[in-house]
Amino acid sequence: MKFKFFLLCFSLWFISCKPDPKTANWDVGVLSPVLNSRIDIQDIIEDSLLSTNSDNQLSLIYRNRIAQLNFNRINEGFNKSFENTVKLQSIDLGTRVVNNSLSLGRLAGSAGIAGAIIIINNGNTSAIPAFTGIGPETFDLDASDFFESMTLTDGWLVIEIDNGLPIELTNVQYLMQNQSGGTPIISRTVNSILPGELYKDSVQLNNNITIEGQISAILQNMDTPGSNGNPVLIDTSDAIQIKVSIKDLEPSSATAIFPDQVLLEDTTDTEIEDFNGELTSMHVGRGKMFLDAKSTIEDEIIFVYSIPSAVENGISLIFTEKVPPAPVGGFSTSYAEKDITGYDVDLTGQPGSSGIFNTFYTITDGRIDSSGNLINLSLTDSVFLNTGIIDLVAARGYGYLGLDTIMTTEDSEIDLFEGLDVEEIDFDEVKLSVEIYNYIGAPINAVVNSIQSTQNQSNAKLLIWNQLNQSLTIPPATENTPGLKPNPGYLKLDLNKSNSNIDEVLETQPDLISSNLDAFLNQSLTVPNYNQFIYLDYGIDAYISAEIPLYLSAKNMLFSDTSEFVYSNLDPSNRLQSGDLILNGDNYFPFDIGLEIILLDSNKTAIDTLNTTEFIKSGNIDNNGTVNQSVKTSAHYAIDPQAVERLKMAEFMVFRASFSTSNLPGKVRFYADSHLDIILSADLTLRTGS
Amino acid sequence: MRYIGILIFSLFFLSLTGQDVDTNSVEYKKLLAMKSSRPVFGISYEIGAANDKISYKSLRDFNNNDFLNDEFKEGIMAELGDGLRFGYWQSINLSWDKPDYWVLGKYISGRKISLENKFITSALASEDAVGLGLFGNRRYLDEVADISNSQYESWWYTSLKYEKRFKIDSSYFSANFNLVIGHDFEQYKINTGKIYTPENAEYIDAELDYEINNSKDENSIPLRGLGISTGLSFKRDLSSKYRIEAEINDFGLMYWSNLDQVAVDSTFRFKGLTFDNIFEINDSINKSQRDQLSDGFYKEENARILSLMPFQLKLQLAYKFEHSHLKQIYLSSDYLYLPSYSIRYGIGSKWKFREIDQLDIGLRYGGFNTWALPFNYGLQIRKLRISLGSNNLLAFGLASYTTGASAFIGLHYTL
Repeated sequence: MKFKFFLLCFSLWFISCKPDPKTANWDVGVLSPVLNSRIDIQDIIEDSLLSTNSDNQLSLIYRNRIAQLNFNRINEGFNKSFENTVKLQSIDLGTRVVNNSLSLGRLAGSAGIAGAIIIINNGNTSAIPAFTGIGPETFDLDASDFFESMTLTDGWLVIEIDNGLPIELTNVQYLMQNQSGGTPIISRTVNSILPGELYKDSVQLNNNITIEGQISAILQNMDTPGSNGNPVLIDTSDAIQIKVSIKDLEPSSATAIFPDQVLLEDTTDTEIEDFNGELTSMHVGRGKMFLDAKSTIEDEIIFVYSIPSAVENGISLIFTEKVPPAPVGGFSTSYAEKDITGYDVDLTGQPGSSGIFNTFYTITDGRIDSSGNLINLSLTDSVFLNTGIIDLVAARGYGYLGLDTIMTTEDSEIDLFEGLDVEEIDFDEVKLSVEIYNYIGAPINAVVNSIQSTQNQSNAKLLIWNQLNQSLTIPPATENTPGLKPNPGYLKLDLNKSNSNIDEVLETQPDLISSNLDAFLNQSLTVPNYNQFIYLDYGIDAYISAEIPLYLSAKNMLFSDTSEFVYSNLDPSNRLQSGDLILNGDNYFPFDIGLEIILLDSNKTAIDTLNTTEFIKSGNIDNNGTVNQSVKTSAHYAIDPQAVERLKMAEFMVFRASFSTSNLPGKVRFYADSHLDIILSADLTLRTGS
Repeated sequence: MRYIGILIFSLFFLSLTGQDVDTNSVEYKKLLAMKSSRPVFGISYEIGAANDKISYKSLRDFNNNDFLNDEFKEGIMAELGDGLRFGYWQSINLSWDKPDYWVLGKYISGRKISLENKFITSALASEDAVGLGLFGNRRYLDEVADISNSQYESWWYTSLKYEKRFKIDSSYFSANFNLVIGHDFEQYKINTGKIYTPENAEYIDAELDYEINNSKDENSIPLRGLGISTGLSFKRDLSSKYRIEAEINDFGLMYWSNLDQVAVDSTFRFKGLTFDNIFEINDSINKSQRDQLSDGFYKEENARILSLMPFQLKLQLAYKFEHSHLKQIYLSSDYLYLPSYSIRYGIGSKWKFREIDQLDIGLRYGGFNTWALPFNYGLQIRKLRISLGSNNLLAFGLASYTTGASAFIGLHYTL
């Protein structure tokens, strides 16, 4: 086994070690083009910034927004809330009625011999004898189907006794009291109730008297003279009808079945406040309605919240929220929101009103749909209701927009000269215009107080222009289709060498333009115009548009570009010892080009610069400043062994190109076909081996 | 080629079964046991390098120095002439040999099993190809560097060999069959290669027709090819004085897989990687431009090829002497199927001063080398035979005047 293992190991060794003859290293000189490219003007200046005229000559076209203004008309979120508290007093307990009867037969049963005579003669015509001391008779008046008990601050108990007997009732003594006892609710003695007479009596239920659903009505005594000897038809089913009613109740507390009823009917005007204008309508860009309820009532309460003047697709805004029954001794809550985005809201108040603006109205209804259950209420029970609007913002508003003023300084970054650093530049001609677009459906008067340019927060240059401090009227926008961007009112102002120093301003290569301007809304109107509109997203935009023909002179115009650099990608085996980079140029541009390569370490600190005194020469230029023939030149960049070591440390490279137009101070022309063909070659000494 | 291979294998197997040995006799078996030859276990190693132009001293310096300066390289260029043939080889061999022998006038055939690991490199380079390699194209500014008809081949493989010897009439034969495992293969064939670099290297004009096959260096255990080969030798006394010997070795095919294969037949001007926008180099230099560079080139990855192995042919005619220390003089020629190997002719002599030693020394011309003085000395010490040799003894004394040498050592122990 050991031998086999040895054999296996030996065999693996035998085939695994490739013979690798050791050889010396040496240096080889390798010359090779590395890359080639054609640089045209589009590589230096973005296509979008260039235009070409019929002579193929290039112009720099630049347009940039320098200001964007919005009057504070409808851009603030509007919030409003309303509170309602519904108390128990306003709850209708309804009228409760209990009926009972006492028949002649029942009376006869407790009237001794006289009563026996009556019963014997039932159905006959006979004289009914007098009898006295009828009673006491107790009747239960059961209203527990309506309420269990209630303590009243006010209300009435009405008793009606309809004598349906053929005999007079005299000395009728009765009382009513809760079955549980206590002070009688009512106690009366009636001298006489003639046959067929309806006797009525009532008692006011106040002073927190407590009425129970089970009431005892006691007929304490009743006498009758009989038929006074006159024969009468005796019918033992004839009866005295007793009707007890409880009504007009104002309970301080009750345990009752409440009927369907309205708790709240509230119509409220809501004015959009702090708006210095008179809007007649608006389209809601965003916003919500909300309803927040807290109830101690042990029954479900239904609230309906609506804004009738808010319409979407022809349907008014309405939403319903149910507040659940409160637990015994506790409360229930409910919160709901409704998004009202997209609704058109009339702001002229309630129907029939006039001279109302900026106002819509809301209707809040609250009701109980009877559940048929006994519930307990007290005077302290209530429903607290908070309704309102959250962060309502109009996407657009219509009506008279009022007067307003904006006084502002707008800073606008200019990237026209971004990445450009030039010692001197002189444009032959500069055309610049300021364009103002008014997307508000109301006239604007604007005053440009000053325009100043800066470069790197210094080198400030103030624009001199004959239109400064003039009131400039920008007509109102027009709305074709609601919701779509309006057609703006437009004002264009030209700046050129004759009316301004704009060429001097641009020759400072500004990166920031600060515009100080005032804008006045409706300043020119004498009477309100209610056909105005304003959009949240569109206000006033101001642009500068520049056209600079590329007929110029420039000295040391620098372009820089930083690239990441990984040496091991270039020379993975560390073979580079030294050498030259050779920049070969065939130049149709009217400028000389110098290039230096700055090596940066990982902290972007410069550690070396590859440069040369050689440069790529401009193409031949004729008297018109136009290149008529290209020129070939080469620039050599030496990479000595020390530079190689620094290359290995470099992680970034900055290519810094310097352009100077030839024929200075004469100007040269740039054409669309101007270009530079470059071939970057390397003449490197590489060491073999690894 | 396939039919030749089949023919040789057929002969080989016929030879294995064609021996007529009487195994029925018990006596004969006993005699066999007494007289049978003892097996010999051997190990040998050889390393060598040779060329046709550069002195052995320069080769040694090339091998031993850390750095070659321009003076040294210019010296090499001065020696080159119109081109260079070069070879490097290295091999190690383990063997178990049961020699053939005679019993009572009966020839008993021998057999041998061996395991050989061989690395061999062959280069045929034009002067400009060597100049490009040593100096780069800076040496050829504004002139055409012609590297046409340059070739390079490198083989590394291990073969497991079974050899059987036999006798037919008065001729002695041996045939072997080898299972070969290929470890590494590199092949560059530049049929046409003309490169022009102008001042400032604004471009490189190239006319190229070449093919490259390279094994991928992916596995730590290099098993990248599989092959079979065979060999056959023949030896016959033409008379009592003359003997002729012929031999073919390692004749077979190797199947290489997983190769990078590049084939180019193109004339083009290279102006560096082209960028539409020089300011966006970083974004595109990695892939698309490299793809662009390889446009017009054919490259196949994981290619498979079948290659004829670097076989060897030998022919020798000897004149034998008796009753003197000089035992034999001979004329020889041999050929190795590699690009830079030319037919080598030689004359040699074999000496035997004592029973225990033997010397073989001669003169050769051709091969990788030019003139060479090979020698081989063997000494038997009891059961151990030590062999020392070189393909050019001159190189060790006249390193500046000869162009290559090898060293060989072998130890064979009779068990």
